[in-house]
Amino acid sequence: MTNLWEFLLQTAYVSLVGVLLLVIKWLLRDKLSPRWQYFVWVVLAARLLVPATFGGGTPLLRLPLWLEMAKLTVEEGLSSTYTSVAQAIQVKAPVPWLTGLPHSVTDWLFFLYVLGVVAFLLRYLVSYLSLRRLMGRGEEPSEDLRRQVMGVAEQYGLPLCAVVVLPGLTSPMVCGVFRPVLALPAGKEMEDHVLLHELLHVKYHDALQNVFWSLCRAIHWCNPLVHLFLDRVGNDLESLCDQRVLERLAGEERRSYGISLLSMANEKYPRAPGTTSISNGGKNIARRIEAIVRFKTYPRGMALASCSITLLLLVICLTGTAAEPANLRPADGGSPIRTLAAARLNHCTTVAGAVDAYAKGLVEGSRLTLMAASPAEMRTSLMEEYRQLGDQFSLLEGEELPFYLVEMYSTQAPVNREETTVCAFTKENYGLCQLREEDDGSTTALLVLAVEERSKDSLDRTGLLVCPIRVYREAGQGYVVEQTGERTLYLSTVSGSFYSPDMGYPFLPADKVYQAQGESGQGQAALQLVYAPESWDELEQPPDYDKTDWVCWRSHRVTYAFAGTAEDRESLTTLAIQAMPVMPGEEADFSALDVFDRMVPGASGSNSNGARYTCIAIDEAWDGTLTCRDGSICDEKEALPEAFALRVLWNDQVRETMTLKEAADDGV
Amino acid sequence: MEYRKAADAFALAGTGYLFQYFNLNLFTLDMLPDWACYVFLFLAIREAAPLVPSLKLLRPLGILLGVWEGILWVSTALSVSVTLPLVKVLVDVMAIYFHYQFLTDLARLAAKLKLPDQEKLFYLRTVMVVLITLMALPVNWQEHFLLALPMALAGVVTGLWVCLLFFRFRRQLLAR
Repeated sequence: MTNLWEFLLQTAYVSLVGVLLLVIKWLLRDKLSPRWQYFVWVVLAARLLVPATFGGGTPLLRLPLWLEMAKLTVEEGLSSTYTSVAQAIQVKAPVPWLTGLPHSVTDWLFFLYVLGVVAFLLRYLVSYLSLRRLMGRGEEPSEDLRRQVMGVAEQYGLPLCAVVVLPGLTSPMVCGVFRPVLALPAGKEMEDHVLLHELLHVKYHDALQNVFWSLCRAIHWCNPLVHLFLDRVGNDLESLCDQRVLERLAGEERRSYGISLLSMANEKYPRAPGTTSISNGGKNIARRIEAIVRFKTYPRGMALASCSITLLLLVICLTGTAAEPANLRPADGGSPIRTLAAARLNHCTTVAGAVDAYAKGLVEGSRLTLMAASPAEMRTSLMEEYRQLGDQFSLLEGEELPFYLVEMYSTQAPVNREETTVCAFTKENYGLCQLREEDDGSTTALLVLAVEERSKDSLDRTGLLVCPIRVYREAGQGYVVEQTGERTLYLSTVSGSFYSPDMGYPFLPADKVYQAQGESGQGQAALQLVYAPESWDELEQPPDYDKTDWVCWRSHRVTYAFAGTAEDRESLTTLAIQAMPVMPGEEADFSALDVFDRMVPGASGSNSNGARYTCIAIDEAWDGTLTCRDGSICDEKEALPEAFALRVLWNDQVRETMTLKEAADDGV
Repeated sequence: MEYRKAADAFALAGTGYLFQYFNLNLFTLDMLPDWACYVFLFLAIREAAPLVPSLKLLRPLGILLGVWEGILWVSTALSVSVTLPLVKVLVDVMAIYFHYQFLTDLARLAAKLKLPDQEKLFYLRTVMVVLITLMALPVNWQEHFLLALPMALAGVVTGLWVCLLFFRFRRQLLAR
């Protein structure tokens, strides 16, 4: 924990778990034995040890959201050293440490908290050392007492430890973790069951557990609830020891054990880390007596139920629930600070999720959505913009447009909406091409978004905006997207043209190029892999920060460039090309193209093996090339074609066949 | 008298678990509501408590579980979503304990009355508790269909078997 907010989140979670455990223990107080009543505190121990932001489920309470709201409110205007407003609260460790000198009020509060932790630890150390020094000054026990202790240890198969007698000590105790010492009051006769109780503490290393709980108390010293929980832990530990004693005693001995406890109700008892004492206060002893009376009335054979309950609590308290988190989008309402805090908590957990949020943030013009997928610096400026201007960016925000929109709009200054030709995003699907895994673990790609250009009342052209991006994992934030170069706008020359991921983007680099030179012309095939969401109306959906469902479209364009003579050109009335991919290990089988029989000008078609044909009628305006395209979903791990088989038909007659093989460079 | 009470308890328990493990939906309304299961189990506890005193410990839990199921049933009928994750955790914990203890106590009663196949009830109890725990874990089982389906089938088979056993115990006791 490196700042006040991380500590508050951690201690809030601990408090929540502790309260939940207290309620459950109360409900099952007479149903599950003291063994389970203490064992279930392992859930609290786990919560204390595991950072609050571990696990991906929905938290039981909206603690992260409330604290994020508080942080955004309080930290505004403070330039804290320990807290970054741009990053959501992330607890990396359950213990505090300082990362610099305090600067703001919240820094100083955290600094004071850390001083408190140190003070508590020092206090515990001093108490423990004092007790050990006291033990060192203790007297040797009498021979009878020593034999009594050895007798009890032998009778019940318990480990022995050093024994001292201390004048002024009111009740027996054990001090020490690695070299425990049993301290007995001077001048008092000890009953066997009392010695049994203390030796059981030694056997089960209760002093070591005590040290652990004391450390937790020190770390959460300013949370009174944690003190309450840990007091109960101590009492349950003693009750468990009572249970262990009673399991070893019989009949009247149990009754006399209870009487011995009662006699200690008014005695003071030492408390320090690394120590245990049979006496723990009058009220607690009364509770322990009740538990003793209930001994053996607990239903038997509860191990499975106890373990199941503990396992369930452990998983839920550490990882949250499986419930769908509330989708806190601006449209859902709520105060701006709440919406901003919720947006801050959105982390993209996958590369696809980051791209999805980034694409939708741009298309919707939503600062909040973009924030989830933006690096820290960008998030800070987006947050400031959000506070001043709200979520949606629009054309009419003065003369200066947000930088990510500048190339999108053909503007006249001042902006006149009525007269301006606007190039805006359309909500079609988006695609990624040239997707590459880099050596540093990041992913680069070209993000392609559909746009359309409109003047006042008409749709002029459609096109694509291509953004080079890099997706990488930012510490404490998840995956983020940064733009790595200039955006390029491609507008089609023909009104109504449309490009989509399945047909590829002809003006973008291909992933592989195949070519061959034939007698009648040149053949070239450009293969492109485009990654896109499964759903065609993806941009209508809310961002999916955990997105995993991309599909890979493999599209290829086969182009034939005529290289015949002028006479050939004159005699040519129809031209058709038939092409199909040739997979590794296969030979180019041109007979497979026989499935396409008569070529009709203006027709095109394909079959399930990826073979495709196109036929045109030749006129004077023909530019000498003919292209056919095909696209299909493929498995990313599928092998790419090794070659393409191309058959050229002039006037419905086969002119030549070519095998297009991979070229050295892959530019178009 | 002892046999009669035990027979009634087994019949009520069997009927209760029928409501728990089978649904008959009329639009959004479940005509075999889960809260009815707890009503029957509560009545079963009342019959069997003189024979197995530890059953009395389950009464308050049974009431709480029945009330919760009732709230869920009404909210489903009214198409209102009830999302209280903290309460759900408490309910899941109570359910695990309740069904484990209830079936254990009835199994011991069956053993005490020397009913044949009573030891099967102990195994079924274990399976049931394991399934209840798994279903309560924070896993979106709808996304893990291959795991969820066998678990659901196991739940139905276990529930049906428990009901059949209880009704068989009842018949055997009445025959005495």
